[in-house]
Amino acid sequence: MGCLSVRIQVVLHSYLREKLPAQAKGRAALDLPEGATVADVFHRLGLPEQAAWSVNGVLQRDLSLRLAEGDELRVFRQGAGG
Amino acid sequence: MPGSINQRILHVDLSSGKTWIETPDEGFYRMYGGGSAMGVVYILREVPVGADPLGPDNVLTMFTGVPTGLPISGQSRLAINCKSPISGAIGDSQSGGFFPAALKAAGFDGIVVSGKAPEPVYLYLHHAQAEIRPAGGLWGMLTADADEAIKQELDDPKLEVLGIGPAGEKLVCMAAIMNMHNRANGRTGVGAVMGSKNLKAVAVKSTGKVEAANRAAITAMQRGGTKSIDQYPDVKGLGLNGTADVVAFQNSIGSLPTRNYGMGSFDGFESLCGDRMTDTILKERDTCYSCSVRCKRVVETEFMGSKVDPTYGGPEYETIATFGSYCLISDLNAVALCNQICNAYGMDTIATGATIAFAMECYENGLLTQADTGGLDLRFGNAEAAVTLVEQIARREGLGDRLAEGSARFAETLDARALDYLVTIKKTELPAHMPQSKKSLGVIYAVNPFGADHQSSEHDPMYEEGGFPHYYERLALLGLKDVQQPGAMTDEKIRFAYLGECFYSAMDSYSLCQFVWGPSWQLYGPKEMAELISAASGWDVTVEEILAVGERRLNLMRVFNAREGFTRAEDVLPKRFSKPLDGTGPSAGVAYPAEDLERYKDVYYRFAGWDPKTGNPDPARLAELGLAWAA
Ligand code: SF4
Repeated sequence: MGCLSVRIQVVLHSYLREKLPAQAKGRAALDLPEGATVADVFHRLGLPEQAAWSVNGVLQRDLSLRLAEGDELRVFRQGAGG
Repeated sequence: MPGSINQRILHVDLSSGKTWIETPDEGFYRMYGGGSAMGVVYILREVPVGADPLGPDNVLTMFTGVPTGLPISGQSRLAINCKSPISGAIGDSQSGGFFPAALKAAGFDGIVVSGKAPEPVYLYLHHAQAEIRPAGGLWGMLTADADEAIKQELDDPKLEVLGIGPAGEKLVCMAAIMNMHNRANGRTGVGAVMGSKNLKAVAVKSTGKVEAANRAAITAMQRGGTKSIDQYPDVKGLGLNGTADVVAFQNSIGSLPTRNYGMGSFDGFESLCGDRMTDTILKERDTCYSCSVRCKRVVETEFMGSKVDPTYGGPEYETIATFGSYCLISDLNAVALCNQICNAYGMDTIATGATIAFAMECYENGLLTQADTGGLDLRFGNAEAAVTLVEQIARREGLGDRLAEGSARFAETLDARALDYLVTIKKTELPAHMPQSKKSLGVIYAVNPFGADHQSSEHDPMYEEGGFPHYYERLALLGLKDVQQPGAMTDEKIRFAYLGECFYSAMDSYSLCQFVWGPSWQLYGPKEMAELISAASGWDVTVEEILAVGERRLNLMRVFNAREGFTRAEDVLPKRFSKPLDGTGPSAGVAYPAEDLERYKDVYYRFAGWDPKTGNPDPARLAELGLAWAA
């Protein structure tokens, strides 16, 4: 059977954790259709486009980036204050 | 009496035991705003050139600002200034809490302390009066114990107490002045200066009420601000997870100093994140007088069998970085214990953590041996050794006695190779935002009169594409309308850094919290800040006037430094910045070459109107600012 979906890990930081149920503590495994992009995840979770994000620890900016099986998408408050 | 100022400044000569009250005119407050600018005015007037920072000739000032004490978020701040015992340049440090508002309500806008008491004393202020009281029995006490003892002695549990711990008494260079034993005027050695004067504490009783010229406007602003916190993501994040909310982002952009500033990302960052603290050791959130943001942390945990007591609060981002990533320590409990020891003994967590990281790198490179460390294995990542060393510094025991002089002076006692690992500017340890990834911040680190400071300007990402619309709408009010590409370093970026510095300098003069008020991401922007100062005072204040107040403070500080022999030559970044960073994060391989900084400084001095050869203020510009007296 062909792989119709990819499973990724999402880690949300700061106030963005509120986009997932509280008990998830900002972490979730998401199943996405093959070819899904970071923009799709942002849309699905209601994340603001101003959030900073990395895939597998590498900071990226192009929301049309496609996600692959096992990727870790980490989303941050584009930070100030501290 | 106009609006929210008392027009009453307390002078205390500890040598003679005399106190007197000065009643400046309203124009003095409008000119300087209060806070740090006002403190530096008195330091310039009263401290002789070349004075010993730890001698009786130094002057220690504590000032609130025009809006301090009003019922609105982010106004209860205190600026403390003196000649710094670390750098010999101007010293400056800010803190929040309830003490600043209480000082204002006790009838004083500020305190100017000179001389040296023959025996330990503390000050008790109430009903616009001051008493000097003996503190022999308090000497040697931890900050929380002294706080409690003073409240018992004066039979008043509601007093606000600010003071030093044993570190300040022992003239530890990085000693802080604490209030509530968890809020620190931490930087530039102000606690050592207080200790040198035999002044243990200042207790204030809030006996009056601070009135605004337009109270209705203040009330409306507070209501509006409190309701809109959720609309400002950066402010909301701060409230939820404290200043440590930025750990993950800092790490992602390669701006989390790691391994004594040798790398910009830390593998162990996740366990140091603010949201992790919220999920694990956070007991409750705390606040400053009238602040709805509530960014302060109170934690409860233990490490090495020692309880971390909630009375000492909880670690800030800077503390988590200096004791955490700087030292390759990823245990939040260990960091919380280091924070507690610093607060109990009264020490700056930035300087203390950074000095230990420096010692660790010296140890790993053979510049320090176990004979020097008293058997401590000072390798990076050894949390137990870090905790032991914090206590040793606070008590001036063993290696701690040498480190208590700060990393720059300690380096002078080592092999010359130590300078390759030293991370100081004007002998002051660097805070936890890296110029390798925030280039314009690097210029501010270099030129800032009191050494590298992360709260003296807005950081690069706020003027780069990809942010929220309110960042840019507010920066435009400062004349900054040319939003830059991410990572760009241009003349416009330096103009942003300079104007941001003037704005932050004004906040340190009006004594406002820079997480609530500011030029871009904060709860209130420049327009609201002008409204606040106007409503507090009854004056008609504009954004331009605010920037001029900030510019005055910077110029006065540079005048002080020039008098002490500082020039452009001291406006430099640490030697190690010329080498590319190690590690694997986005700033790996990135350097900040000294020749680049020299070019940026030419541009910066032009914007500041300072002499490009010396970096010192120009007499004509000083006169334009009404500061001809200081030239
Ligand atoms: S934002 Fe935090 S530091 Fe600032 S006034 Fe409020 S509680 Fe205090």
